[in-house]
Amino acid sequence: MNIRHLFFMTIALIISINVHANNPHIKTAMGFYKAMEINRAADFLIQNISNPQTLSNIEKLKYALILNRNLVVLRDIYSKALTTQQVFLETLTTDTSADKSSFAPLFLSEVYILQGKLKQAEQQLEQFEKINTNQNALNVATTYRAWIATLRNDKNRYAQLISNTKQDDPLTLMALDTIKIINTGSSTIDLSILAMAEKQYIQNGKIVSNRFANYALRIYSHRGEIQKASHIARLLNHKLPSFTEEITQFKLINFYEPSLIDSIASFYYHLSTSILKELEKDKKFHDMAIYYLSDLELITANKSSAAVYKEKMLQVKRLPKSIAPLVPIRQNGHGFMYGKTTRAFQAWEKAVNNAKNNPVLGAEAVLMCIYLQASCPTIVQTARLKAENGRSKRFEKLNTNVGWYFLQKEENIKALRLLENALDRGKADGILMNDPILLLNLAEVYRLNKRFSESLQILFSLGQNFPILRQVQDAVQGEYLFRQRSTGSSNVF
Amino acid sequence: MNKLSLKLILVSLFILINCMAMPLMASSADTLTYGETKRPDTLDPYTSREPSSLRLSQLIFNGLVSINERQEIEPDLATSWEISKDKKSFIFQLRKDVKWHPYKKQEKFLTAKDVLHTVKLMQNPKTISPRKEIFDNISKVEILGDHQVKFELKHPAINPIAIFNFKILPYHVLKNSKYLSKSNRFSNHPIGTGPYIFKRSNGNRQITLIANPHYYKGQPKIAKIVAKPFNDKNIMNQALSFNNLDMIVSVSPRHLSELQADARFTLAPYNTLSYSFFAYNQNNPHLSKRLVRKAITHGINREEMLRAFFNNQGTIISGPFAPGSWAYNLDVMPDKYNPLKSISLLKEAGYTQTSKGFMDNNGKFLKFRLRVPIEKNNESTKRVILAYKNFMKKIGINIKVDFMERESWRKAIFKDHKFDITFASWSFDDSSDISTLFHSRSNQKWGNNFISYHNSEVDKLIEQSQKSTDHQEKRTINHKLHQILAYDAPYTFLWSLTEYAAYNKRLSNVKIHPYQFFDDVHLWQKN
Repeated sequence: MNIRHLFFMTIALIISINVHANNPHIKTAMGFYKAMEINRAADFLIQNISNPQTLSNIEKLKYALILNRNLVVLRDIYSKALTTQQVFLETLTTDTSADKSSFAPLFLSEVYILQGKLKQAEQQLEQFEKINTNQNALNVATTYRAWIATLRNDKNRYAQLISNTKQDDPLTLMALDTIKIINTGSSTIDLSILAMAEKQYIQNGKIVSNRFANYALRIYSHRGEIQKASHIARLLNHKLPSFTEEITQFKLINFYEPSLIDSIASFYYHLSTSILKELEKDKKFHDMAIYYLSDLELITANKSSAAVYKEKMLQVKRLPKSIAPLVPIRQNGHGFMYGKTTRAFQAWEKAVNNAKNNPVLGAEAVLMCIYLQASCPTIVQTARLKAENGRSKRFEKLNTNVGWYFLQKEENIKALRLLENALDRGKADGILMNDPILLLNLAEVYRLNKRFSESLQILFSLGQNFPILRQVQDAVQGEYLFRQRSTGSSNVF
Repeated sequence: MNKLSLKLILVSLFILINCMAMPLMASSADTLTYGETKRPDTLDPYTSREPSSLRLSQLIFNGLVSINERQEIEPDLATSWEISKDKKSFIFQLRKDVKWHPYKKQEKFLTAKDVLHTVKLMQNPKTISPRKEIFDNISKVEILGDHQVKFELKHPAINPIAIFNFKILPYHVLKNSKYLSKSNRFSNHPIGTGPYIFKRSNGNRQITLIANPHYYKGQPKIAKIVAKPFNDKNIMNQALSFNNLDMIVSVSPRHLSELQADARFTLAPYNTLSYSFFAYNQNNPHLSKRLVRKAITHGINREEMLRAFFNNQGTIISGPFAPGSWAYNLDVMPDKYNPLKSISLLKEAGYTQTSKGFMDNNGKFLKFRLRVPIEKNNESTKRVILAYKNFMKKIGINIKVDFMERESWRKAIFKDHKFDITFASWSFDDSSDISTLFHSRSNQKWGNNFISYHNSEVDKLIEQSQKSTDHQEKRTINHKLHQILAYDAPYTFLWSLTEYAAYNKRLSNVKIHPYQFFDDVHLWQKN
């Protein structure tokens, strides 16, 4: 959903509820949000509001709304981080120079695991273990192997591997617990181990290891220890690499973990859920809370909650006029996850057929296909025609979402056209005033079309708002340098 | 009628008269008339550092290989090549069907002699060219046959084949020349092998090219190309809107949204590797002090200027690379606007502030001459200059602005180094090579290091980067260079703006190369 659109929807909501925000931090954050600095808004709230439950209900709603919007972007950044890191790390691992990186295979194996390419991950780990003697690094490799064993449901192998890990190392134990959370949804770690790790990895009020932050955020969020997770989030430096390999004085390589982005996203999800669950208790805010809780489940494509929200979304009535028409489309999103695919497609088709008059509904239908990774060729074909023919600003989001869909399906030429249309329709005052999702996908489609400088320029602007993008920027810079073929020409004008 | 209305009418009349006075070439179906922001300096591929000249030379000349917009190397005048194991020897097979543009009724085909002569000309110490460094690494050229030539490099290069992207010059035209200079007749009457043949240049430096019927890739579909220079970007934009131009190479920020909304035109982003800057002549005793340069940088509110004059269509930068470059160091942040810090830095540098606020140095006020080419005397850049002057006044520095005719400016800056401060922009290809800008060996007449910047660590790093065949090493070195140059502030690095070309939708098959501009121009069509 368009951030600008959502912003105005929120304003409409505030007016409809006739409650004013008093908390100055909420006011400031909404100012950032209005200026499209949505990550700055979220970060500001996390930094300045230690307990969101003390806020008024309307303030809680705004807080949750900001987190939800960030969650959408973070999940997309995560997917871009995986693809860009994969390309860059693959170039490093195929490097034939004498001063070859010995850590690239380790970090590439993480990317492969997150992509589900377990065999390739194992090959990289093998490579890494052959050339590396550093015990700590080998220990990390073993935890990655344990992760693979869990994904394969190979309990014996898992048990054998963890017996080889350093059981007295809090970071290793945290890594194993994180793996457990990701794969089985349970956390059993003793919290005193996390406290011990905090002492080790938080120095002078700063987190010195993003590997620690990655695990801590995931574990605390999952266990509902939101205050503790918030504390970690406050100290987190999003730009910090997980490891810098100093191969020679003039050859340094930064390595990052894409899973950190997913952990931050997971924290936002749990924080927003906890706020909205509280809000759900208030009659006046109940329906809005349901709507945004359902939003969280759709963004994360959470099948386990599909049955609940399929029903709950049928009951919501008290919604602003701008949001109400979206409910059937979203309700069918949960239905789709529940298995009611025909009905969902029918509802979404109806929405895109009417997209000429109401492009917001068409955009929403395509968004469902994106969130749920559904194959919607007919819906998207209709949406594409409406998007391309619509010249006004109202068609920006429809163009963005259709472009995003094509990018997800690796139809890059079509994606480029639609995303450039969206930029054109947006007519934003400065690049950063555009929807971050549009910018992120445009940067990616430029990269895929080898227009690296254009891709990096967009990422540079967006990176000022989303510092976690650093790992994407770094990877694209690396790929660009590897591919560039020019020999030096400078012109003055 | 108030003064403003009268002004508006006069301006509109001026534009209308200007447009009416233009030859109606744009309306002709076989001619592509495009607007240039500057008069081209020379038309050969080597003696100019102006993008307008580079664009034209792309239409007239070819290299042995070319680099397409996807960064892939393609055969051009060479059909194939062999590389030795040590990656230092290269044998190229040349095309046999490439005909030179007509010259004195001679009909000549490309041979290995042309290739050899090009390298000889470019390696002659008397040849002055911003692209000369490409030839530094070539140790030997040998003719193995009429259409076979062998090169040897001094040391392996990171992208060795890309070196041979340099444009080939005709032996039969230049056989009596030992070196290439702007004064050579050839520089303004070029003979090439490319898709277009130079026809004429009029008094306003409007260049007319005609399609090469013998172009080896096929005769271009558009019969004639006319490059028309404009001193004022706004007038150029208006000329496009009035259909007097088919294309413009640069859209002014003011017209961006207007053109975006106009269904007749297509906007095409390109040239993202460029940035604007104020450069400080280190021969000036005050500007040779780092603290003074830093004080100036802190005294300029770049964000405000970008917002007010360029509709925020760009990004503030912290160093010598554009943010779209692989070399940009993301950890170096731009200096913040802080006039109080500026004043304190100037005091630290030994200046005192008079009661009227001027910075005083032994009884003399701190004042500099800012020389700006006349083409910069357009609406948005003029505002930048005036704002700069005002920002400097606030920190006690007096700036005298000279708007100079382009050729005089070029001579004053690049040849004579007679200036204190100048305002300009650099654009780069994907190599983001800043070596000629800051290496001390480029501090010579017509060299790119016109500010006389000398820093032995920078020299060493540049040399190391040039020699390196390791991608990651090259990146680390350039990040370090960024850090040092941001600290040293030989320039105030301002912003990087995305350049947009705009063209009428009557043109089809248009491909804009990210830095060479014209791409596969022989396939472009006008309907």
